[in-house]
Amino acid sequence: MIARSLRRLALLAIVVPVFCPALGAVPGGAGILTPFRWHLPGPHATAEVDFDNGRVDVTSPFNPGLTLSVGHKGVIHYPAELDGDPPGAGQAFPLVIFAHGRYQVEPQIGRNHLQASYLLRHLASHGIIAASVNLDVVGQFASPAAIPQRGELVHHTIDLMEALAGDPDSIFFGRVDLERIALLGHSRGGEGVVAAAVNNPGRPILAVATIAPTDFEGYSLSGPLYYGLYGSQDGDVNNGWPILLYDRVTPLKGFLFIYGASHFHFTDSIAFDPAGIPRKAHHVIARALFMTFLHFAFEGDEKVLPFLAFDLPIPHPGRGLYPVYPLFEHPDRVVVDDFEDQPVDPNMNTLGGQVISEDVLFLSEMALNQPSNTLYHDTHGLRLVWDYARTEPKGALYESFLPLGTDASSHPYLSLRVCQRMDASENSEGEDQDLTVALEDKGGRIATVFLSELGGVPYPFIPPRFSRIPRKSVLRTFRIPLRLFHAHEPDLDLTALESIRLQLDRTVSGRIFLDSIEFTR
Amino acid sequence: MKTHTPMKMAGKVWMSVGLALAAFLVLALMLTTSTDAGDPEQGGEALEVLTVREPSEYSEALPRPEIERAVIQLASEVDGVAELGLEGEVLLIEGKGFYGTAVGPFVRIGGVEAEIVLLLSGSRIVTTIPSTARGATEFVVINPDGRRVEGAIESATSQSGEGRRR
Repeated sequence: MIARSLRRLALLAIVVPVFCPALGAVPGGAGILTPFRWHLPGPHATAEVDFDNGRVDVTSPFNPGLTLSVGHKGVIHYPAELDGDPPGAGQAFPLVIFAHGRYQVEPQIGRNHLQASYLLRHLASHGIIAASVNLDVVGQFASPAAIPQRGELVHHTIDLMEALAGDPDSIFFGRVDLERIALLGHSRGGEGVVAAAVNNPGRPILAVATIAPTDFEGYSLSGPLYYGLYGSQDGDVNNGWPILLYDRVTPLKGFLFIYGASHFHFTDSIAFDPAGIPRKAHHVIARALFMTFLHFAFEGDEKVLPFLAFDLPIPHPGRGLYPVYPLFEHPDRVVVDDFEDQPVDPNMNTLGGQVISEDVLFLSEMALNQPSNTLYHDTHGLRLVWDYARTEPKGALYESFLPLGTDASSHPYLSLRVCQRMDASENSEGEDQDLTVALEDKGGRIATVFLSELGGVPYPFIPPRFSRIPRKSVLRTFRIPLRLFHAHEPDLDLTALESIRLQLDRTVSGRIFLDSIEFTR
Repeated sequence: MKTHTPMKMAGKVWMSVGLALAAFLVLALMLTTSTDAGDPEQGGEALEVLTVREPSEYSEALPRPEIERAVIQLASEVDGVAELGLEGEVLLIEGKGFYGTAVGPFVRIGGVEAEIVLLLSGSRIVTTIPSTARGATEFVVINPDGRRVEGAIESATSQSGEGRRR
């Protein structure tokens, strides 16, 4: 029944021809462009078709023993020929389910699933079937937030797509690759797709991506690849929830903190909180990042990893105009210090090596979830403070020793997460901080790199005047290529390293937080 | 009966002063070493709820909350509530301009945050009544942009049972 109505609707579906400036780059018409052009539309025209799947059951947010019957409707964006059918005989396309945010404002109620067409059409043009499910049917639940119910509706939508893929009467018959599924969500829908992945009955959910997700349930996600976007000027989820969620995800994971981005400018047209950058910039960044991420998830193309890790910037029209700061962690890594060991011992790193410091004004391991101190991370980290106006000599350093002759040569990067403490007298407002990072080998050879060579430690985003957006000190991942150390000291023996040293010698004073010192891919 | 000679009294005073001085010196020593004792950044704390917002930051087109009436009723008597799994007494707020985003609207009854808040429509909210707010007659509704409206409960006569999950 559904399939037939879909078939009929598909005939009426609007096929949107897209401008394909990069079409020539498509290798063998595989539907995937070069990773350098993900912000541009893909090679396919697209169509969209509404679905109305009647009613489905979800658990009551008040009582998991009860079920509620709710409407199940949405829209499917897909690559299409001019006749409305998916292109390429027999070709199956990967599936993305999109879960929108909550904007329970009349007359928008019931239409929120249509608010990501800028993104879903883009995915469809790149050869992805993207179904957006309406979640306003649980939008009346202000508190509790009905997050697990959103996850259930995501699974109902996968059920529907499975049914359509197996129905000879459907235009999607045999055209949905159910071995390649990813989930994408915004705000409460972002946490909803995390709920769907956490409560996954065994489906091949390869990836989860979120925009400014809530964190009511405090989920810890492991298994799928993860990527998140969050705006510094988010006026709705303004309490750092997306950062906390990111910290609890098991790698491989990435995150982009976008200065000036708001919460609802990631929708087609909802106006709620003001942004410091245009809505179009939000869209361009979301299209470029998520398409790159999904390409990695669906195709396993390792060549795009440097873009997700921001070792290389993803080209798009706004690049350079809008400051963005990444977090990234790869599962293939040697954790030198994550500062999570209990009992807390600042004199020993995670590998069991000794840690020493000299002339540091303050040094301590501490929880980085302290909103009143501008910290919104679900992790422990290291605080380093130096101020040569108050202490002498000017040679403060922090050194973490490695087990005998550590071989880092199989990992191309030394990674660490660093941020400035906002509003600290030791930092200069609006100015980057800098450190010298040094590697020393068994032979006493030392190679150094300044963090400023990779862009510096940015001063935290300063919210607009009169804004009540909380001030946040957000870590940024630095991935220092080991070849950079080699370039500075060609004789450095990466197969027998002795220590990692942070020399606080680039500025007169500073107060920074640091986490996750790793050798990594 | 015990008595204290002036000499003994003076000795006790000096002992107290000495102890206070020692405590002060220990504290000063802790603060001047490279540890962080006494530093507010050192102590962890629970995450706050979303901060209060400033209405002027948000779109002018957003609705402004208004209250027409608020009554305590049985959940079973409020259209569309019983089937969601609520039982007992609830506060039904009628008015206009209510809405929600990732959070909200928030309802505080007698200064206590309602645990369960249902936004049935832009003109109807249903909440449970916190046990610590039983008997309260005043409440406030706060939209996600921070705009708020205060109201009074009309018939707070039978607050015998908190609204509860079925």
